[in-house]
Parts: sequence; C-alpha cells; structure tokens
Amino acid sequence: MASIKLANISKSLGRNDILRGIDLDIGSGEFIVFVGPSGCGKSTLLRLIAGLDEITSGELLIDGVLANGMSPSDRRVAMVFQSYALYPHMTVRENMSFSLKNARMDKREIEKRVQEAARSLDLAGHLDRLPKQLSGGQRQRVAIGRAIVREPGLFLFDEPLSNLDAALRVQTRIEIARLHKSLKTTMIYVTHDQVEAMTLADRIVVLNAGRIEQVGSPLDLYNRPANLFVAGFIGSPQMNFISLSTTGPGASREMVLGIRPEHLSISRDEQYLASFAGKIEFIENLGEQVLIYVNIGQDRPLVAKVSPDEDFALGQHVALKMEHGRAHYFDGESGMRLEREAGHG
Amino acid sequence: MMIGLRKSRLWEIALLGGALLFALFYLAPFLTIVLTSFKPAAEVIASPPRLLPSHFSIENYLHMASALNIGRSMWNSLVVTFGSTAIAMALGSMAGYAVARSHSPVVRSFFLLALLARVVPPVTLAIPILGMIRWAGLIDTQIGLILVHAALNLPFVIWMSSGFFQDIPADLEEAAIVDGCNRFTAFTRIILPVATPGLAATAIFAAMLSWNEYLFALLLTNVEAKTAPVAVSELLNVYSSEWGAMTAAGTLFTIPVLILAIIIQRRIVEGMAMGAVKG
Repeated sequence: MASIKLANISKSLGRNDILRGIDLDIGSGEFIVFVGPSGCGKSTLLRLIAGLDEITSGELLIDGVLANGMSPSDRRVAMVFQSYALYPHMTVRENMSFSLKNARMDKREIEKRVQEAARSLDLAGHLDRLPKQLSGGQRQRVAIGRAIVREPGLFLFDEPLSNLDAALRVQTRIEIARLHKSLKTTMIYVTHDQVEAMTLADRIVVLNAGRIEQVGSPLDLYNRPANLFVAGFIGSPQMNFISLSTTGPGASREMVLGIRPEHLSISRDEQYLASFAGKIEFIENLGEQVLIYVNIGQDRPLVAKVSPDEDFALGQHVALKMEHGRAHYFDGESGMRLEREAGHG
Repeated sequence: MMIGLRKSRLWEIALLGGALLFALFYLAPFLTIVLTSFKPAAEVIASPPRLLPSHFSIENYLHMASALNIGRSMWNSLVVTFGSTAIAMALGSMAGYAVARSHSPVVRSFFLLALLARVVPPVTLAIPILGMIRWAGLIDTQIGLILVHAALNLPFVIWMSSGFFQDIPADLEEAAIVDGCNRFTAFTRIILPVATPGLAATAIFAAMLSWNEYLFALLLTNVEAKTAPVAVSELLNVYSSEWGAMTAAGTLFTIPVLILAIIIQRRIVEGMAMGAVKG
C-alpha cells in the first residue's frame, strides 16, 4: 500500500500544456478515480504516476520519497492497460510471471503466486494458453492477474473496461471492487464512464483541460458540485441549467440555477405550484424511467426524469416543479458554486 | 439451386485457369532457363528453338563446372548474403523501431536521408564506395562486400521494419517497462518476438537483394571473393557466349533462394498480412 502526493505537477509537450498545477494527496489503500472528458489529461496524469512519461515540473512523492526520476519498476506500481497489453507470444503463465522473472524471484515463489492469482481470477485452467485463445473477459482477467502477482504498492488502471461488452463490464467492475476490498492496495483508476467512477471510487478527481476541477467522494460531487463543469459532468442525464438575473440595491448579479432531472416533477395542471411551465417537445423512454424534454423558452429544453407509469404526450403543456432543497446555484461569471443561496446543498 | 452451383463451379474453374496462365507468364523465363540447362549442347541455340529437350542431359552442368569455380563463388555468395543480411537486420530493425516510435523531426529527417541512399542510382555510389573499400584494404574480400551490401540494404530494412513496428501497440513495451524491462530489453524480449513474421519477410527480401546484387560484386571482387552472379557473367565474354553453361549456373544459383523462400513462405505471408487486421 502506497501513499501518493502530487505537488504542483505540470506536463507540457512542446508548447502545449497537458497538465497544470496538479495538487493531490492520495491516502494509503484509497481507491481514487480520475474522470473527465477526452483530452482532459487524466491518462497523462496516470502515466506520470506510473513513470511512463516525464514530469515537466512539480514533485511526485510515493510513500514520502521523491519519485520523479524513478523507473516504473522501482515505483512498485502495476498497471492494467485499456488494450490489456498482454504479450501475445507468451502463455498466460508466462505473461503473469514475466515481471517476477525480471525481478529474479525464486521459481517456486513465482509459481505459487501465479497459481494463487489464477485461482482467484478463475484462470487456473487457462495457464498454458496464449492470449489469442482467450475471450475478451479472460484477457482482461489475465491483465489484472499480471498486476496482482507483483503485489504492488499501487495499482493503476487505464480505462480497463472500455473494450468489454456491457454485461462483462458490470461483472468485471464488481470484480475490481472486490479485489480492492480484499487487497486493500492503493488504486488509481482512469475512466470516462461516470457509473464506474461513482460505483468504484472512495474519492473522485474530476479533471478538465489539464486542471483538477474538484476532488471528493461520489456523493459529494453529486450533491455539492464545486462549479458548473462538475455539475454538468456528474450525473446522467446532465443537470439542467437556467440563467437567472438578480437585482439588489445598486447592483445586479448573473447567476445560474442548476437542477438535476431526477429532482424535477411534472404535472399536467398548469396551475400547479410550478417552478416552470412549457411544452413537451421530446420523450425518451428508457424502460425503467422516461425522460421528458420540456421547452420553457430557453436555448435548451429542461429534462425531467419521471416514472414510466406517468402518461405524457408530445406537444402537451405541462408544469415543472423542482425540489428547492435540491437546487444548485452558481455564479454566472466564474461558474463557481454559491453556497449561501443553495438551500439544501 | 443446381444451376447456381454449376455456375459458381464454372466460375471457379475459369478463375483457376486464369491464375495458372498468369503464373505461367511469370514463370516462363525461369522455366526456359531450367529446361534449357538440361538440353544437349547442340540444342541450346537451335533455330527454331525447342521448348523441351530431346533428351535430358547434364552436359551443360559438366561444362559449367569445368569453366567456373562455381563451388567457391556460391560459397562467397552464401557468406556475403548471410553476413550482410545479419548486419542489415540487426542495425536496421533497431533503427526501424526508433523511427516507428519517435515523433522527433530529427529522426524523421534521418529516415528520409536513409531512404535517399536507396533512391539515387547505385552507379553514382559506386566510385565513392570503391574508394572507401580500397582505402580500408577490403578489395576482393568477403567482409568488404558484406559491409557494402549491408549498407545498401539498411534503408530498405529500416523502411520495411518500421512499418511492422508501427503496427505493434506501444502499450506492449510500456507494459514491459512497468514489468521491469528497460527500453532495450522491452525491444528484444517483447517487440522483436512479436515482430518476427514481419522481420522474417524483411530478411528474405534483404537476402534476395544481396544474393542477386551484381554491380558492387563486380567492382569490389576479383578472384577470392567473387560471388555467383559475377562468376556466371564471365561465361559471356567477347570471345564466346556459353549459353548452355549459363543456364546451368543460373538454375543452380536459384536453388538456395528457392529453398529459403519455400521454408519461410508462410512467414512472408504472415508478415505481409501484419497490420491488415487488428489483433
């Protein structure tokens, strides 16, 4: 188990700043997830921690020791790649024992560790097969097994589930969560899938354009997004935003009201104590819930998540009511969360 | 249904016939040489020419053996081909890997410069190379020709192998580096074995280029290190044209490459197909 400290880390490629001023403390045994849109720098940050790319400026400390110039193997990290990166000319056993042989470990100890990992990942019958003879899920388990046998201080996962189909993704996600529970090793996991982030993480780090937008527990990010970006990024469908102007003595202020689709209710009765009113312009039926898109005269329609039992039709005039305690308020200029105005949150 | 089957059968036969004709067209010169080499001496230049010998004779082979020291020149060819291919592959595969993985404009420029050596007509390189080899005291030595063939083959090996290396995901060597390898051991233990089919194909082509090379072999060798193409050409001189012996030597000269190609044929096809499908 390793603790990690990133102090003012930056990474540039030529004139492009990929990461700027990253400060982050990761506690021993924590499960941290990096999320953010494509190109936000989350994979680059992982690679800097792994030692696969050089840090341009700033300090990386692993267990309190400066690790900027350390080789990946000296950092005691193990990494699971998106493409699995299994060595195609080696059997499962050879793939899993490769790093241990490099470390000149005793043959019996290698075999013991490989057997243990294979048993725990249900790969015992496949040890003499080549990667091409395995299914996608099995290959992913071999990649995880290759990481486990090293007994590393830090596991790094780079979008490990994105090549799997939906069912296998859920199953493997659960396996990774179980793995963290049993090994209690520090894990850093990169994904663009917020369901993975919300279900796996102790803490989520939201990145955007090379900067950290917010660090917090999944519920923290959901209930108290620090700014408009995080509010819009966490939650599906996205939070609704409504521009507001408030006028006070001598000054006016631009604000943005944010309300999640699940915190809006709809009534056909337009006289209902409504927050907003408008016409239904689109309906998406997802089976367990229905998304109703209501045009209230803004650029974008408001989205409300309702039960499939409720019956609505296109073109219908409806009233929308929000749970006031669930409303979020942001500064119109900086996009930062306004604490005072937020009733509940 | 029946008619459909018959039609597709006919189509298959027509395709096969076409392919055979095409193959025959390509093989015709080679078959002519092989068949002529087994004709009695009098039939070699008979007019009108006959396709098949009236009876199989090894007369041309015996004549060729007496006129040339074919054993020695074949041995020289083998040593030069093997030596130059080994050097070109060892250096060229490393350079090809560097080119495939680097985004540096310097490396890219080096790559283009290396290709330039292949673009200029070999005869323009002949004088400086002759000067260098003479200066090094390597005229008429196997090592001199090995070095020249290796240098001539390097751009080709770099170019061809870099294509194969580009098809190998960088994740593989990064996984190896995380697993305790350095750049070099990641290359030798992971990347090279994965690239074997492509490199085998490259090696075959490099070997064939060296095996068939004539100009530099003629310029740089005389007696001791003379290779087979130069020896064979000596049968054609201002006094006589030993066509029969030449076809015999030509046939013999083809055998090693033919054997090599048959052995590694599958590897060549695998190499050519690399990158065609995502693995």
